[in-house]
Amino acid sequence: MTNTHRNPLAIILLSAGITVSFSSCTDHVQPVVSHPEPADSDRLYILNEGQMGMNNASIDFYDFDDGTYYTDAFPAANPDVVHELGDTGNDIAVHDGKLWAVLNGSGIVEVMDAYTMDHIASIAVPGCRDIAFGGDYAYVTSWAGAYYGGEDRLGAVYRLDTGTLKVKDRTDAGYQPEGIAVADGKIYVANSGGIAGSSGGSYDNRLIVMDEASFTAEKEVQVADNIQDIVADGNGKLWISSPGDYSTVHSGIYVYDPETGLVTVPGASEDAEDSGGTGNAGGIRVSSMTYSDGKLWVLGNENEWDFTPGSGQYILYTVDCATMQVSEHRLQETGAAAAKVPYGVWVSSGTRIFIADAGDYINPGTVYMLDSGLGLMQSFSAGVIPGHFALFSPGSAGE
Amino acid sequence: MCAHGFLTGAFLLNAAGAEAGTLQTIAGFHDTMDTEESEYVAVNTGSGHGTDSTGNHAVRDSLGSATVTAWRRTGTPPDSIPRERLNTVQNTAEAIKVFGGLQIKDYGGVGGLKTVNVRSLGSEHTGVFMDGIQIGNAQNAQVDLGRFSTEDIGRIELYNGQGASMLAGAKDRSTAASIYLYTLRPSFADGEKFHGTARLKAGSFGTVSPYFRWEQRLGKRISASASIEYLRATGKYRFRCRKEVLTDGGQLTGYDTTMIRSNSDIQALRAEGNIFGTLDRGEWSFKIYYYGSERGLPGAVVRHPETLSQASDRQEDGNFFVQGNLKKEISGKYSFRIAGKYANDRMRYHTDPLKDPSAMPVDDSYRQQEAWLSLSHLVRLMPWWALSAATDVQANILDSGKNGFVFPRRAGFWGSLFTVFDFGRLYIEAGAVYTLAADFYRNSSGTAARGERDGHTGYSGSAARGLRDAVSPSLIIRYTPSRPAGLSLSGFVKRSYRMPTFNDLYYVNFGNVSLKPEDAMQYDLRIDYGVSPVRNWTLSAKAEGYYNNVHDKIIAVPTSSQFRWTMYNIGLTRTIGAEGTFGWEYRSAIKAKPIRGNNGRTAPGLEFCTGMTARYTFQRAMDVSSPGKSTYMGQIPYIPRHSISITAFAAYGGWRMDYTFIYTGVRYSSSSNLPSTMMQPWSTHDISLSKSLANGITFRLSAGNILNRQYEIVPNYPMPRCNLLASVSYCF
Repeated sequence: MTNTHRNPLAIILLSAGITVSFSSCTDHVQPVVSHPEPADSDRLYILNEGQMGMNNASIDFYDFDDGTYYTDAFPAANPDVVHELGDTGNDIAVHDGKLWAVLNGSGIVEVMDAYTMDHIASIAVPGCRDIAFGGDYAYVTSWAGAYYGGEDRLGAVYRLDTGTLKVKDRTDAGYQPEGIAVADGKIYVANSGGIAGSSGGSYDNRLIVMDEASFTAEKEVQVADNIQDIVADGNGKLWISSPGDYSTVHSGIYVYDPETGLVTVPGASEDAEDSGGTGNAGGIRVSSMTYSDGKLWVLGNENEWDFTPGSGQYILYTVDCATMQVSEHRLQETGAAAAKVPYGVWVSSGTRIFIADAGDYINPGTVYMLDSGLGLMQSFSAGVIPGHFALFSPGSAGE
Repeated sequence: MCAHGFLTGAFLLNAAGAEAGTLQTIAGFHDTMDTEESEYVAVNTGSGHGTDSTGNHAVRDSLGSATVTAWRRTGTPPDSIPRERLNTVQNTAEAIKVFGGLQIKDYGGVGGLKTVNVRSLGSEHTGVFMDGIQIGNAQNAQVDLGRFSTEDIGRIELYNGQGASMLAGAKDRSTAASIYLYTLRPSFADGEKFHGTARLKAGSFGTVSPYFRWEQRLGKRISASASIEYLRATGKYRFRCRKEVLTDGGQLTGYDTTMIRSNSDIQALRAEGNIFGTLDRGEWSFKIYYYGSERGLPGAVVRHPETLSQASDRQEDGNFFVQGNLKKEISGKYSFRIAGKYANDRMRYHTDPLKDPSAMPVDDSYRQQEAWLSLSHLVRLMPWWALSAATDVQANILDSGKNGFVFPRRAGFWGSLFTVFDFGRLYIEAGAVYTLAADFYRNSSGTAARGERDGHTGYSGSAARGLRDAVSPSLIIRYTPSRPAGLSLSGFVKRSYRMPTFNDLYYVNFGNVSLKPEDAMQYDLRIDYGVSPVRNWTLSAKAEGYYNNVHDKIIAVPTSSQFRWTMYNIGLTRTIGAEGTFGWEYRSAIKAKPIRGNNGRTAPGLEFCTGMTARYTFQRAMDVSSPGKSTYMGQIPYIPRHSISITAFAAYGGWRMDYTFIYTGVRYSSSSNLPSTMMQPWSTHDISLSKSLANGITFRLSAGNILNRQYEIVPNYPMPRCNLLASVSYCF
């Protein structure tokens, strides 16, 4: 690690036996690699998105038992997989003893053994974005759905058989679907319409509700422009984030209750409809979020319309999903104060908070591990654009 | 040619006509244009115009030598590539890769983008000029050198820190580094009325390319040329991706796969016409040029399932320009040049969502127009003192059907004033260029709102304006001591700016209207030495050191909003460089025979000629933008610390062989110089062999990358391995 003298974080990595084995289309011999040890205790997998076109998506993991952080484990576990993990990771999940990584730039859903990270299968899903599981299937949102001519291409949800590890079928979604969740026999898909929206057209704003059994859309709910992530809170409610439109509508969190069919905003006295579409009345700014133990953890930027580098005022919100009470902490006042662009958050049963810092989006980012008091426990140099997490508990293979 | 660039420029600057483009003389232009190329004819199989030419200038002399009177430019001589070497390559990018201190960023293949970056200043600081007139691109300041065929180019020169001519336009003088392409000029022996060349080329990448050129003498003082070249290639090539690793157990594993580059086909048509005229103590020329192409953009090689189709991105281009130029000496004391250009460039980028299941529908078109007019003067106040002044005006228009487009227009003005002292052994040139750019654009609703929020006054409403200006001073000194002969010391200091491009400023959701110009400062010192120790032999050497820094470098940075990137003036780079060049050549004393069809293409002679030039470059180019970050003091992406080029040739009896070796050392794809961003060194060997017959037919076989090395210049854009091209041409 040549930058050790510059980057104190790198020193931490040395203990974890890091090898780097990115390859490219040249013919040369790479250094020796050691296969990572199989998981024997809780392990947090971290997906680094990598830069588009650089084929440098990577997976790191943090071992809760011995506190080691292993970077770029995929090529070490699978030196014979051509072109390594792939291009532009967008989601990662553990399901049924398997680790699933969604690689948008590659059009691949990579399936690995969650213990060893050994490659099991790669499933071709063009334009894949996010993944969720239900029954014997994995559901993957994709930007590459049906094309009926014109300026827009519909998105889709692909249904993958978790037994055969093949695509079973797909169904139409809205424009540029992102987040997906499966709960109580329904599949929820957040459609962003990000392509048209970011180039002067209009964003999509629909949450599509599908019947899990028949894999067909049942209804559409207008939530907010440019909706992105969905998490189900276990009480039957869906928490949906929107980054807004970057100039006239702020980012925010919206709650969809399938029972009532209403969309509400946490922390707000009125619901989203009353706010007249001008933004999230609750005042929660969101760039990423995660659900843990009855709470939603949200990272947002209070100063999100100032596009000057370094102007971000990042807030870590916690929302009690039952009471909708919001508490907030300035990231500046936590152990992750050094984070430049907080890009992802994950919380382990209320005891540890992981914050991924994308840095400059080109060079390796940083993962901060905070204690429940938000003090810094440790930080780790990750791959390029760390942002997605998945916990694997070998004891309970189901996750 | 033997005129391996360094020899060309480094000494014998006095050789009249050696560098018409460098304004060897401002007076007595007549015939220097023609003679320049005639010289190449005479020396066909080698023999540079830089040697102590006993027979080399025969043809030129027969046309009547120029009267060297008024002014001689003796600034730092340029590195140059002569016609004979241009014959052996496919495009301008391939030709100039041997120059020291520059990097070609090559995305690989026939149609892959090829841009040039001189001395790590950034490609936007490098001007590319056709016959002294800049090839512009207000949209992104990138010139794709892969599109410029070498077929109608007579010579290429690289200048650092100065324009090529004392009568250069003010805009010329404002660029930090310049690549000059000179159109091949017709030349006629007494009594000749026309020449023609027909050529057919074919080979690797499914390349087929016919070419035809006609040269006509229109009068005693006017000649014309017209040419047309078509290129068609599938662009397909095999590349190999290989990784070998040792596991803990000592087992060798990894992968070794060969893939094919696809969606890399191209069709291109180039046509141009030129008229050249001479006046009493003057000259003029006019050029009309068209290049049209349709190509696939194969994209980066990343992990991709075989069952999914590859990229379907396509690009169509139409580049048209007309330009003219007139230089005249009115008296021994005053000369002027007037030049103008109009360019119209169209570009369409689109995907095919029907063919490609992962393609988003995109169909973007752009049209750029540029009009430029320049007037320059040279006044000789004293035999040792002159003033050079120039004023340029330019208009740029960019239109597009893209949503949210702001239709930027730019009015540019350049004014330059230089004073030149020439005391024989000591030459000093000092002055400055003033640059003004006034932008006018429409607000789209989204950007207007953002602008207001950013607090930029004058940004609201339906029309908006932006004004930028800069002063670029420079100083050039050259000293030629009396002993030893052939030695010279020179140096320059120059500050230059590059205006933000339309993309930098106005690209939807990405541009930043408050950008300042990028500011580049250069310091350079060099020693040149050339000598002819034995009859028929010449040796030359150059050692050069430089330091430059770029302030306010415009770079795309992620903003505090994770979903948006914007351009900012926050880059700062420092580069320390050193270049060394050594060349020799030998030419037997037997004179070359002038032959028929001597339009610069073929001329078998019995003269034996051989030579070699080796260039070494060291560059420590540091990103010093962000102290404390992992990028701080890191080597700038794609800049090797060490690079080497060697060119060699030998010619005898109509045979000619050219050899090119390029070595590029370790580079990084990011300023964070980590093992994961390291790019392997690479080297290539290219060979070209040709035989010219007395009847005007020439056969040529060129083999690139003969050792079949797999390498990358841009990560995930594999370069072709061994490739062959054969051509036959007939000159009459």
